[in-house]
Amino acid sequence: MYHIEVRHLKKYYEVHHKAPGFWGSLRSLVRRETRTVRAVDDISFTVAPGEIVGFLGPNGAGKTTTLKVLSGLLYPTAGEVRVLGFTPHERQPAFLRQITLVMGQKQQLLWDLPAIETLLINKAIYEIPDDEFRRTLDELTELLELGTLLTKQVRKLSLGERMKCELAAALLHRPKVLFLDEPTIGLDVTMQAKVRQFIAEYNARYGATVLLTSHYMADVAALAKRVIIIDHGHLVYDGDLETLVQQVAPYKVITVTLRQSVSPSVLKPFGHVLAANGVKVSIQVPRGTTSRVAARLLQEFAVDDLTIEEPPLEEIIQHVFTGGIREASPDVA
Amino acid sequence: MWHKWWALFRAGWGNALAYRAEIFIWMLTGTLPLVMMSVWLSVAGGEAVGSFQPADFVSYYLGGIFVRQMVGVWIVWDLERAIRLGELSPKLLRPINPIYEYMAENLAAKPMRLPVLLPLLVLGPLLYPGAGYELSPANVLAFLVTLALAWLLYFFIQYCIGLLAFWMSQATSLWQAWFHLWLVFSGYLIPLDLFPPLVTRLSAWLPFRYTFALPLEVLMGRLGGTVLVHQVAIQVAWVLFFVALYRMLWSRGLRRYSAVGA
Ligand SMILES: Nc1ncnc2c1ncn2[C@@H]1O[C@H](COP(=O)(O)OP(=O)(O)O)[C@@H](O)[C@H]1O
Ligand SMILES: [Mg+2]
Repeated sequence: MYHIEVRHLKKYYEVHHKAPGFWGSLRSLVRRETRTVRAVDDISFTVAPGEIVGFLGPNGAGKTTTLKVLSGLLYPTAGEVRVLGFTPHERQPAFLRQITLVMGQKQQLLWDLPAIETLLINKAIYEIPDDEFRRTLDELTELLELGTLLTKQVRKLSLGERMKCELAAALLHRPKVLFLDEPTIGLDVTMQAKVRQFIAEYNARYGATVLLTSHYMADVAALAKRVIIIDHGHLVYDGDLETLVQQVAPYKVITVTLRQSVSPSVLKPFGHVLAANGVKVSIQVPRGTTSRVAARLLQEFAVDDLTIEEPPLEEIIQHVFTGGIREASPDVA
Repeated sequence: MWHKWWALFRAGWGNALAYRAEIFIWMLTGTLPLVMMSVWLSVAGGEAVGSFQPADFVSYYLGGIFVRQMVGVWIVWDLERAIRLGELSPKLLRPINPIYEYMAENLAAKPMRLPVLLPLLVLGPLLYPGAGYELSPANVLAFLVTLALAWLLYFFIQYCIGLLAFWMSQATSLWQAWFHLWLVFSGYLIPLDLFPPLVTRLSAWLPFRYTFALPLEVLMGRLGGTVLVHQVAIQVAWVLFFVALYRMLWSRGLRRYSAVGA
C-alpha cells in the first residue's frame, strides 16, 4: 500500500491576458485570449508510508503545483492521484484530518491574535481530545522550542518564530502525510537546522510520510534518501540520492594541506587540479580511485591534512538540469 | 459541531475586539437613515404620509439602523480577495467548510454593536411621543425569527456574489450594483409602503425586502396573521434558493480555483 500514488498527473493553468490600455480591455471583453501553462505535464510516482522524499527542480518546475494537487487545493487537469487512498480534490474530512501542507509564507495563523488561538480553533475543528491536545502541544513545544511564543500576538513574531508556530498549527492534528513546500525559506542557518531536525524527529516518532521541496540542498541531503526531480513539469529523475550523486558526479574532491607549496604541474598526474592556493590544493579524482590517490599523496608529499568530499549537491542538481541526467538514470522512461 | 462553532466564535470575537475602533467608525457611516428621518419629518409637517404617522418615521428609521447593523454582512471583499490571492487555501486545508468560518466571524462581531444600537431603540420612543414598537412576546419572537432569516438571506446572497470571483475579476463591482438596487427595494431609504403600488407589489417578490423591511415591519407591529405567515414563507423560499445557488457555485468554483501563492 502506498501513501501517495500519482499516475500521469497533468495540471494546466489557463492564464487570461489582456492587452494593456482601454482598447485592450475592450477587446478582451469580446474575445478572451488565454494561454495554457503546462505546470505539471504527465508525471507519475509513488511514495511508501514513512518515506521522506525530496522534491527538487528549478523555479517554475511545477513542484508547488504538484503539492497543491496532492493536498486537494487544485483539481488535476488529467491523471489520477491518491493520497492515503483518498482522491484529494474531493476534500473529504477524513482525508483532510490526516494530511498537512506547509508553505513558507503567511499561512493559517490569525494575524491579530496569539498563535494559541489558532491552535485552539484547530483543536476543535480537528476534534482533538483534551489529553491528546495537551500531549501533542507539549511535544511540539519541546521539539520546536516554542517557549512562550504561542501567547504572543502573531504579527509581533519574527519570521522564524512565526514559521515555528505555523509548523505547530499544521502538525497539531498529527498528520500522517506532510507536504512541505520550502519550509525553511527565509530562515537563518541555525533555524533552518532546527526545522530540519524537527522534521526528521517527527518522521521518526510518528512514521509520517514526508514530501519536501527546498531550495537548500542541505535540507534535502540531511532528510531525504530519495529524490524526485522535475523540470518544466516533467519528471527527470526518481531514485536514490546517493546513486544520483555517484552517477552524475562520478568523482570526489580531495583537498590536501601540504607542508610546503608545490607547483601544480607536479600534481597533474593525481587528477584534475581544481584549485591550488599555496599549500592548499583541491584535486578532482574518479570515485573508484579516491583511496588509492589519497594514499599516494600521503606517500609522496609531507601532508598536514587531507579530506575527501562529495562535490556540492547544488552542482550535481545543476548538472542534472543541464542535461547530464540521460546517462545518469536509465530507469526513468 | 457545537465545539467547532464555539471555537470559531471565540476567534471571531477576539478579532472584533482587535478591530473595535474600526467597527465603531463603520457604524457611524451607517447613519443615512437619520438623514432620511429628518427629511420625512419635515415633509410630513405633523401630518400623516400614506400609512405613516410622523412618529412612525422615527420608529422606522431608528429601528432601521438596528436591523441594518444586525443583518449587515461585509464579507464580499474578504471572499473576493481570498479567491483572487489564494488566501482561501489554508481554509480549504481544514476539515470544515470555510463558510462556517465566515459566518462565525460575522456573527461574533454583532454583540459588539449592541451597546450602541439598543439605546437607539429605547431612545426613539422616549423622545418622540407615539413612536414605539410592538413588544408582545409573540411579536418579539416573530421579529427575531424574521431577523435571523434576513441575516441568513443577506449572508448567502453576498456569499454567492463573492464566489463569482472564481470566474470574474469584478465580483465586488457586481456587489456594488446589487447594493444600489438593495437601497431602493429593501425599504432602507424609503418605506416600501410609500412607493407607487406597482413598485410595492414588485418588491414583495424580490429578495431585497426580506433582508430588511420584513423584520422591521414586524417589529413595528405592521404585519400579522396570514400576511406574516405568507411573508415568512417567501423569505424562507429565498433563503433556500440562495443556499442552493451557493452550493452549486461553490462546487463548480473550486474546480477553477487556482490557489495562487507560493
Ligand atoms: N495560479 C497560477 N496561475 C497560473 N500559472 C501558475 C499558477 N501557479 C503557478 N503557475 C505557473 O506554473 C508553473 C509551475 O509553478 P510552480 O508549481 O509554482 O513551480 P515551482 O514550485 O516548482 O517553482 C510556473 O510556470 C508558474 O508560473
Ligand atoms: Mg514553489
